[in-house]
Amino acid sequence: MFPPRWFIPLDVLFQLFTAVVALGIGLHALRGYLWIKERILYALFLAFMLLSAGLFVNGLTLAYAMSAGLNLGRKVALPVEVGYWAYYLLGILALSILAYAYLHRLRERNLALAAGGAAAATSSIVTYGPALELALSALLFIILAAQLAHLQVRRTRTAVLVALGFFLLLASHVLALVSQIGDLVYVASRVVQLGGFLTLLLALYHPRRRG
Amino acid sequence: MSGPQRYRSKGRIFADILRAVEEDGSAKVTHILYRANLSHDRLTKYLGQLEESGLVVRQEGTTYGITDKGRKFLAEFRRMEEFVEAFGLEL
Repeated sequence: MFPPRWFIPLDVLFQLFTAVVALGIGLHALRGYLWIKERILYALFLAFMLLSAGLFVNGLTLAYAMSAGLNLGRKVALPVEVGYWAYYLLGILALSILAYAYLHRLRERNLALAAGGAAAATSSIVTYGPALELALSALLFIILAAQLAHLQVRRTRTAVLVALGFFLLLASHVLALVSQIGDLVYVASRVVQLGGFLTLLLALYHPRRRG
Repeated sequence: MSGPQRYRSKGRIFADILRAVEEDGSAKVTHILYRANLSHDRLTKYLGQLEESGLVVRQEGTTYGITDKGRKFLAEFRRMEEFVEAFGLEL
């Protein structure tokens, strides 16, 4: 779950760039929400802003660890510990909102339920690391399954891109889970994660191009 | 035989009214009633809100026209409809 030492500077850049991409998706949803005041757009905005914030915090945490010359993977300093917790909790909260939107389509329910569900899920987890990575993967699996079910009904190019984006995000967390195998697996997880967000961004601008 | 009525959000109802008005540049209330599938009371309420927001303009008697802001709203709604639909969700 920790980057190899030589990859940390690049990892910081990867995380910050991915955060900007997620922010772009969130702001697009916010723009739509400000125009047409649809709750689903607010949920998408909130989810991607939280994802972006988590990635940003993770980037800063890695930058701090690098500048302080900390050896990640052993006993880590409090700021790093807090940074990792924030990254995972923000990610779980964001994906819970997305999963909730998929499962209930945000009709009569309250967004707070999603936050409550996420809090309940995370409160039972003792440490960050594999367990939280697993929680993120499970949420992404739910989202991907819902998106694949949607593809059975309506297979547009954008819907395929969104499914691919979520698949790549899921793959990145699975790769992170098994990153002890080798340094390159960790690197691959970050590349795939960035690919996932870029694919979602591409899906976002695809309708705009035609619009 | 039509199936059960689909839930329509306020944004979608606004878009349906604006589409009906946009079709011919302007439209009478009776035409909008038919196209947007609304009761007279609800349509009157929504037309008032649309007029207040500057999305439609009352032209003469019971005829309404769409404004530039209304067209922009409609374009944004279509774009967001497609965006959200790509996520397997709906507005």
